[in-house]
This record gives sequence, structure tokens and C-alpha cells, in this order.
Amino acid sequence: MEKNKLATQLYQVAARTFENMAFLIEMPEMNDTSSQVQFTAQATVSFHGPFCGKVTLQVDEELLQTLAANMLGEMDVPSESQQLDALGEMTNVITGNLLPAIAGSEKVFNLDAPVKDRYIEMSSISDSSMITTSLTLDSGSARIFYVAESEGGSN
Amino acid sequence: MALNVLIVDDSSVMRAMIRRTLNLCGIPVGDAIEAANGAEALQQLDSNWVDLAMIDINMPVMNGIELIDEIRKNPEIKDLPVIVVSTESSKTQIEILQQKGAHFVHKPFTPEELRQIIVDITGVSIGEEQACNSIIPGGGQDF
Repeated sequence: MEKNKLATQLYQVAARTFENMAFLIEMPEMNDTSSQVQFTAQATVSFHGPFCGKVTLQVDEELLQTLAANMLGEMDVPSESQQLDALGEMTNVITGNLLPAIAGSEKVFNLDAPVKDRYIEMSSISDSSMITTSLTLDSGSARIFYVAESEGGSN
Repeated sequence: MALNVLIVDDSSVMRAMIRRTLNLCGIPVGDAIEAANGAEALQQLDSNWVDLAMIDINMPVMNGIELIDEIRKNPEIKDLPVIVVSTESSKTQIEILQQKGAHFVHKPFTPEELRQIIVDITGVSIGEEQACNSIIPGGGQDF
């Protein structure tokens, strides 16, 4: 599948998931500011099936807090643990909805538990085959990476 | 009749979201019992009366499919209504779950979807017509 089409699918799935899970609306007219954003947390979900790979979601501090607060329906800032849990669940749902869009609904993938991190090491996710998209939402910014690492992985 | 609901998901945030959705959609919930994986869920089922289990698939220690298998093997709880709440999208996997007598709700789900399936499989009556779109100020949303 061509990179541009994959990037569009990644963007659409991510935007829909943020809206449906956390009531966060994308603001595409502000997307050109994403390069200025400081991303402070990330979660990665690896998948295995007809092909293997991973999806990484990075967010800035404002989005990290709002994400958890909206998902929990709380006005107060959720705990650090809850913030990272919400980020992991969001990554899980994005991955689970992206794979059938790419591979079709007949294919079976297994998803690993999200790996969550406060420290973002860019070199660890740098890959020439990586698809990247950015979202500016009404409460912060997100960046999503998708990479298919190999064909015919374990199931 | 209030339902005792067992919510099984390794994400505490997702468990809280499901619990909040049940409450705000007018589902009469007695005890909302939580477990972070299948093994914890079996312990809870051993010591609590549960009317409905809402189970994620991908969990550590014991996943949702293994948990459903254990439930169906136990004569005391084999007929427990089960709703799988998961990102799973494979038709093959969903058919396997349905063959095990589980119903399926896809994440992200709408409050209406959740309420309808619970009403359908438990027969619980909603006391008052409470609109799910009151969950979020300003209108209805998906979860």
C-alpha cells in the first residue's frame, strides 16, 4: 500500500479515535504548528499476524492530561498513572482500528500490551519505512508513527 | 433488578469509562466489580454473584478468550452473559467469540450500543428513559 494512502488512513483512524474516546476534536487548520510542539509521553503497541509492526502515539503535556481527564469524566487532573494508562488505551484502540483498514477484516492480528514511556527517544522509532502523521486537537498535539517491520510474523 | 457487573480490562481508565457509561445510561447497576485480567476475574467470580461480565480480549496473565473458556467450563457460571468489549475487528475472531456464546461491542463504542446490547441479553428494564447523550455536556458522543 502506498505511503500517502497509509498516512491518510492513520490520520483518519487517529482523529476518529480521539473524538470518540476522549471528545477531542481535530483542528487541521492549526496542524502546521506541530513541529514546535514538545512531546512528553508516548505509548507503543506492537502487533503480530500476517505482518508485524508497531504503532507509536506521542502527545504533548496538555493533551496527555486532557486525554485522561476526558476519558475518566473528571475535572481534576488525573494521576500520572492514569494519564499513561489512558495514552496506552488510546494507542491500543488506534492500532486495533487501523489494522483492519489496512489488511481487511478477515485477517487476525494479536496486539501486545501498550508500552508507555515518559522519555521519548527519537532514534528508537526512526525507520525509513515509517509512516508518520500529526494531529492538532483542541487540547494539544499528537504525533503517530506506524511501521510494518516484517511480513508473516507469528500469530 | 440491579445487575452485578464484572468489568475485566487491563486498563483502569477503560474500566472506569465502562462503569461511568453504565451508570449514566440508566443501567441499574448493583455492584460494579473490577478485574485487570482473566485470572483476577475468576477470583472475583468465585466470591461474588455476577449477572453480567464485560470482558476485554488482550490482557496479560489470562486473556479474554481463555477467561470465557474457563467460565463456560464451570457448571456454576457457564451460562453467565458475556459481552466482549474490544478493539478486535477480525471477523474470524468475532465468530469464534460468538460461538462461545459471547456478544461483542467494538471499541470505541457508543453508550447507546452498550445500553442496547445489555438490555437485549439481560432483559433488564431501564427505570426511566435516560438519554445517553446527557453523559457529556453539550451532546451525545461515542466512547
